[in-house]
Amino acid sequence: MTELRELERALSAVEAEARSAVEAAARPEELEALRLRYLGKKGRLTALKREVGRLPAELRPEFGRMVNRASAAIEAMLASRLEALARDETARRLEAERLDVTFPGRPWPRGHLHPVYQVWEAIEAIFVAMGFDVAEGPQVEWDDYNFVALNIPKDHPARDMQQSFYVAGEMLLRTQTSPVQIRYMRARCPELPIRMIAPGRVFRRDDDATHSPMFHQVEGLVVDRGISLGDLKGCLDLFAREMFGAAARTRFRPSYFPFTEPSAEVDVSCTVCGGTGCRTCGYSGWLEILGAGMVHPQVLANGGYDPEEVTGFAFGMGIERIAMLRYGVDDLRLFFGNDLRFLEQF
Amino acid sequence: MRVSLEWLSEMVTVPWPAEELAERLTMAGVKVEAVRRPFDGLSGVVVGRVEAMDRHPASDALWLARVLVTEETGTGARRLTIVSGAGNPRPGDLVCVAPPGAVLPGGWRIDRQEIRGQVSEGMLLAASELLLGAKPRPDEEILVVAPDASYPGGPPRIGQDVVSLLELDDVVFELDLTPNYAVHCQSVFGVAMEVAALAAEVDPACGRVRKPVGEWAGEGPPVSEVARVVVEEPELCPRYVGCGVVELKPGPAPLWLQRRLAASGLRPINNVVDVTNYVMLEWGQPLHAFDAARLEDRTIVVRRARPKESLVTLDGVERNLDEEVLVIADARRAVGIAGVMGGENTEVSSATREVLLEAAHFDPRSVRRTSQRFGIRSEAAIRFEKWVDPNTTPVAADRAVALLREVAGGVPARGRIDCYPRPYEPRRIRVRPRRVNLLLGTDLDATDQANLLERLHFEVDAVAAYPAPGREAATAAQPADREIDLWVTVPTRRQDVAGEADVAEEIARLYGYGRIASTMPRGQLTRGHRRPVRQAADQVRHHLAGLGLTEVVTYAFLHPGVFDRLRLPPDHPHRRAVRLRNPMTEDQSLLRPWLVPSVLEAAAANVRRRADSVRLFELGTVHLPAGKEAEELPREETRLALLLWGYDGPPAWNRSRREVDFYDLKGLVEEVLAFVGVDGAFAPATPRITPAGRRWSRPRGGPLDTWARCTRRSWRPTAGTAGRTWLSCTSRPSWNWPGPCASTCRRPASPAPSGTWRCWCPGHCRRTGWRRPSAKGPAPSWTAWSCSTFTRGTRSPKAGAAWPTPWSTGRRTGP
Ligand SMILES: [Zn+2]
Repeated sequence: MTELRELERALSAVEAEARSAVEAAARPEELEALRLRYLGKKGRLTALKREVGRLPAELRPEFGRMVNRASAAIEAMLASRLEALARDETARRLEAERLDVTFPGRPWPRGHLHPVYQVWEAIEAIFVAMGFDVAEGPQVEWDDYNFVALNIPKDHPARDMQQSFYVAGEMLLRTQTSPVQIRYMRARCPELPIRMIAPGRVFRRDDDATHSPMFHQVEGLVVDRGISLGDLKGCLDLFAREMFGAAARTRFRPSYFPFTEPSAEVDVSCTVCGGTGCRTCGYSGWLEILGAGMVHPQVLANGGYDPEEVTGFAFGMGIERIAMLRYGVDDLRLFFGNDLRFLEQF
Repeated sequence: MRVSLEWLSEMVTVPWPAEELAERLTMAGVKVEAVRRPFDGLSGVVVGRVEAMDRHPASDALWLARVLVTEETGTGARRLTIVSGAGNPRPGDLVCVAPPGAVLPGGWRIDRQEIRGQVSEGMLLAASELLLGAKPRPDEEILVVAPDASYPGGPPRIGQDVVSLLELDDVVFELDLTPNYAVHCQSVFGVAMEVAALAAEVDPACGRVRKPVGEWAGEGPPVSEVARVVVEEPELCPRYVGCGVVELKPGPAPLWLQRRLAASGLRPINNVVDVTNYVMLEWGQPLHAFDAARLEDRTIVVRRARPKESLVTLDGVERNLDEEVLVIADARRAVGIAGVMGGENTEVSSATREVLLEAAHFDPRSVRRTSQRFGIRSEAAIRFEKWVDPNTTPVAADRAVALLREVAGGVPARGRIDCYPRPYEPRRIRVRPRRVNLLLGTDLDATDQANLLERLHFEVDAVAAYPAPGREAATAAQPADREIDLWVTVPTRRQDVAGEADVAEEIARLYGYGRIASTMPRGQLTRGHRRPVRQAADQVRHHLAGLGLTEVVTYAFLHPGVFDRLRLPPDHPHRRAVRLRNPMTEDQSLLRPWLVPSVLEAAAANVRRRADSVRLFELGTVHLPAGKEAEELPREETRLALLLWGYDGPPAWNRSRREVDFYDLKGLVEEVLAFVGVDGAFAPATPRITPAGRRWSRPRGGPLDTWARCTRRSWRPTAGTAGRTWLSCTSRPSWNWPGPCASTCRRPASPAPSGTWRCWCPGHCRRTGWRRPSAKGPAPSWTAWSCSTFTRGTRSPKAGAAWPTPWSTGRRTGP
């Protein structure tokens, strides 16, 4: 009996020693060493197990249970310590790897589309949605198409409004996108209806804050049976609201273009002040944005159509002009200066 | 064109305040650019009588005037002592006095001040200080007010406010006239007709215009003794009216006349010339006065100039003439360029006693050609080249003769010369009210339309018309029932109204564009199309912007020296560029055949502005000369240029930047090719420069001489690192991006002209459809963006042929 007591004391001592050793361990490897030291084949507990021979047979099962209990206790100690260590490690690593999300990110370079072309695309989108085809014509154009077929013969005073660059013979840089009207009608005649816009570059001998030798225009043409000035107003009203917002209003003033009759100058309510008057609109509340009119019978005939049978309207606007209004740019030359500090704002 | 409201009100009753009138004129097509009150601020200036004029005791250049400004009445006379810079007024003369407290136009306040030891109680005014047209000069004389009764409110009185004396509260409208309104609105009378047509809506009484006609009786010798007139070119001078005035006394014109000229922007000269200008402003008919005594043989011949003939015009410039120029000549020599400018040799001077007054109608095209050729934009030429009503000519001449009698003491010669072999008849235009309504989208009956036209003084006859035979009856616009036709007689002063559509515009603008209801076109629904290649181009632009490149738009012009600066060989195909015949400047004299110089210039400009990372692209057009230069339009192609320079991106705290190199650019080109579904391959080009052309890099003098010079200082973003520009440009028609595969699939036969490297598409690049990603092997590079997208619906050209432009380049004049 005393032997059993003695062994029990020895077991308790090993267990207590193991507990303090496990608790002192700081790394998982140390725990593995302790496992070998106490529970391994040459471990302290295994050595105690061998003492069982000193006990009488009836006490041996009792001792076996005591050893197993101690062994389980040490296992549990090791496991819980390992877990605690792992938890500490994660916490430590998390602490070490914490990000300051307020730091600036690494920038990705961003490119910018030219404001004039952004407006070009916006205008195109509005009219394409209204069923207009997008047509093109050459920038170097025949005098016939640019002027004569549009009712502007040689020596016509309207040529003063558009000083041209001449190339060779009867060729010039087109001063307007209107020649595309003629090209389009001649290519389509006698198809109906004609609904087209023709955006593109045009050239005039002018260079100052509001004129550039090269700029961009959008021409529009609708030809069908029964097209009226009211239809022109309706189409351009819709365009103005799409372009400048639902509150935009338009105003049609009689004007003059050799290839339209009646002709109109179209103003839109000032995009800055909304019509009450400010510096941008010269305190008039209105901004001039485009010229328009009913296609002149002679121009319809030049396009191959019978003016007794069909009527049509046409309009033309400067893209830079719309871009200036839309973005509040006051100097046309900024668009062609290609200063990245300017372009990167659009 | 400037119009004085005071002058206008003489002819028509204006029922609106100035601003409202301006608004209404603008909405009727006569655009009022500005409403000016030039005399705004003027107050306190009165008429005074000089009582004494003495030398300033301390200065030879100054005078000391004693001026009575308030008559002797119950409160006593008021006299001022004023230091004056000019001593021309004599005691008894009336002058304009600004006493202390008066304000001159523009807000200049007059105060009592000491000048060389003398207190000056105000100021005596010269004409320029009252904005009466004269040019301010240091030696300008003090304005002396003539004590006659020619003023609108009677003779001047001492102490009278000059605002009421000279109508200096006038409003001036600045008109911005389109060419058609310029035909009839370049005169006060023409504008008055417009105002009357508008005002008639408010009050029919306002629709009447009081015509400023002149009445005179010939009291002098017969006009044939003053001069005789021979018109040799009736085609170019369809009407010539001549009147003679003798016993003239040239001198300054009365102030009221000077003031009206000044308000209209003309400078007073002398009473004879001023009258011709005055009547031109009033009636729109330019007039010219020849000094009849200086006319050789007292003869006027309207003829073409003779070869090698020359004439010194009134502006003092000698003009060389030839048969293209219509001149007014005497028996021996030219005395004026018809309709443009008179000659010095017969100019009216202070010695002139008799004049021949010319009022003519010249052919607008001829005047226009001549005025452009000599660069003379005279008031006369501006009017003649638009159209001057030939039937107003004698009215204007009569008015001028009457005025010369009134203001220059002239005696009219008996009779009037009038060469008018083929009188112009007013046009009669058939107007179908139904057709007008169809064109305008209105619902105005024939009577409404006729009433509107009559307000413009058009004569209208209504004719009941029956269905016309043939086409008209068959069209939808003309139903078969009875209709009214209007026959409209248009006065000859409205040359711009030539057809039914013009009459419709007149109806619409008087009715008011604003009252026409907005509608949407009815008819077949259509889908709007864009050419697939344009859609592709836009997608590439958006893609490039997404990749960090910024789009630039450069001028289509080039300086011819740019090819030398880029060291292109003399026979290089890029040197064949389309040349402009009349460029604005030498550096804009070529149409660019490639984009490279333009984007290089755009990049250089940004480097000069200290940009350290430049990433640009341009999708632009270039022009390549056609084979037959004057018969075929140049070929126009859309090209893409990419340019990288400097660092690879914006700076950041946690990244070191590096400079872009060839492989950045190559990657970009490959990306674009992949995006449009084209395979590309790269190879060194001739001359072999590896891995990329130094030609573009480090411009230290030499190759890029000019822009190296302007960029050298800023070319290096950081010390020790030379910036390098990496540039790609679609530089050959055979790589007509994003053109069809057929032309890009060929390996170019000749070396790429850029001299750096080139890219072409070996084998097939046409991919159609897509393949299902397979688990085995590498994933296929598929794209829904295949090349066939570009070519859909268009005919594929023969292999090797250039892709056709979407327009014809030939010249065709008829449909
Ligand atoms: Zn505004």
